[in-house]
Amino acid sequence: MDRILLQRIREKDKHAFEELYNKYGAYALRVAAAVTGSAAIAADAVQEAFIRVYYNLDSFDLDRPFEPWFYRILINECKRLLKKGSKVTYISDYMETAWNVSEEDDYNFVEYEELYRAISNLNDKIRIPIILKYLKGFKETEIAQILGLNLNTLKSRLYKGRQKLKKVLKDYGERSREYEL
Amino acid sequence: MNYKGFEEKVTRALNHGTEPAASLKEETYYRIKEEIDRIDKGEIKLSKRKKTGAKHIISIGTIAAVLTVSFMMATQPGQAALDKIRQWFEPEKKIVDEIEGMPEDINGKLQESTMGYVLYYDQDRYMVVSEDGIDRIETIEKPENYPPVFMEISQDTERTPEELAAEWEEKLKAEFVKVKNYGWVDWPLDSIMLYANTGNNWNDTVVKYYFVDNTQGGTFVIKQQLFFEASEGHGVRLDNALKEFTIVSLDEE
Repeated sequence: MDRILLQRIREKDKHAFEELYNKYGAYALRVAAAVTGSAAIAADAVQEAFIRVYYNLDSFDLDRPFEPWFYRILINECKRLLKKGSKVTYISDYMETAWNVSEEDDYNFVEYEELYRAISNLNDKIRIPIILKYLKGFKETEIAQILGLNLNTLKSRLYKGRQKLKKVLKDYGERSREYEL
Repeated sequence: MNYKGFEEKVTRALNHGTEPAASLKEETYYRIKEEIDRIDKGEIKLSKRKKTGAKHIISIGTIAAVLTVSFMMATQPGQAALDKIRQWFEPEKKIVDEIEGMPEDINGKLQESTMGYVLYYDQDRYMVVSEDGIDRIETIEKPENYPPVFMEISQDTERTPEELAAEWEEKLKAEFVKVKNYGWVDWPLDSIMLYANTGNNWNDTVVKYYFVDNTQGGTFVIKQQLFFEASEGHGVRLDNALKEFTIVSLDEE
């Protein structure tokens, strides 16, 4: 239960904090990486977000769900770091983008790579909602809350994003069939 | 391809693409723990910690710039920092702006604020009054029977642009006939923008709010108050001043 865990963290129980990190850290890193396009910036954003959680939990209402609050902090950190480091390219990101294809057939691998590239190329307004919905699995009401958006605005952005990605998949499918012929 | 199949593909693509970041989980926790230990031992202060990320002059396109000025004392932004800023920015400069389709020479004057920003404003038309933590750029000429025109800049060090924009949107709805939230905009500067008016008569009040991330977890709140007929003239002039709004982050050395 997050509430008990968070109460313990308020009392500065570091084991509880580690437990919280183990529960949410991996997906936070994934979401931050998809938002920033960089594993290195993602790690910085997640570090800052968790430190803010550790020291600012008193201002959080324990009756509310933790994740929307946390992801609001995380997304803001991602945006802040992107602004600060907009001209910085991390060599490590090139080195780390080695996809694990051992358990995937080549077709799926290339298709996922194409789709991920297409998601990365969406503008922020569309991309971040898509990431929160499909990577993290948030409900639309939660995403609207995290991003401070009207629900209809959010639905419209998700719709636009899906249309663009469907077109990418359709084009990819057609190219693949042509290649097979 | 059915809808569920499409959604699964998007999820799988995102999971594959972010695999390198997920592998940083342990390393990142180690860094968090180390940082918290240092804060708890008093080796570094939470509020004075150097934020991660680049610490140098960073230009964000032509929209806004963030300038980090290092100074020796861990104090609030003060005279020493402003002296440093003066070395970087000319006190006055000529700017050519387009007003209602025509190029116009502007005598720009540097406004250096202890809040941590600078901008150039048209010194032939406007003056700056600073009090109670608010910088107010107002018209020098104040003709009778015309509503006031001004731009106020303040800072909320605790809340994000999203939080403040949501709060102000509700407040404006109670007072104005039309309220529009434009979300994140990149002109005249990177911010969340709200617009509201009391109607379409020449003297109806128009307000615009820009909520700008101050890069330290807070927000610069910029309010422009105009009247309907002045939206094109003063509105554009004040927006032009914001094009060169530069955040000066005053970190300790």
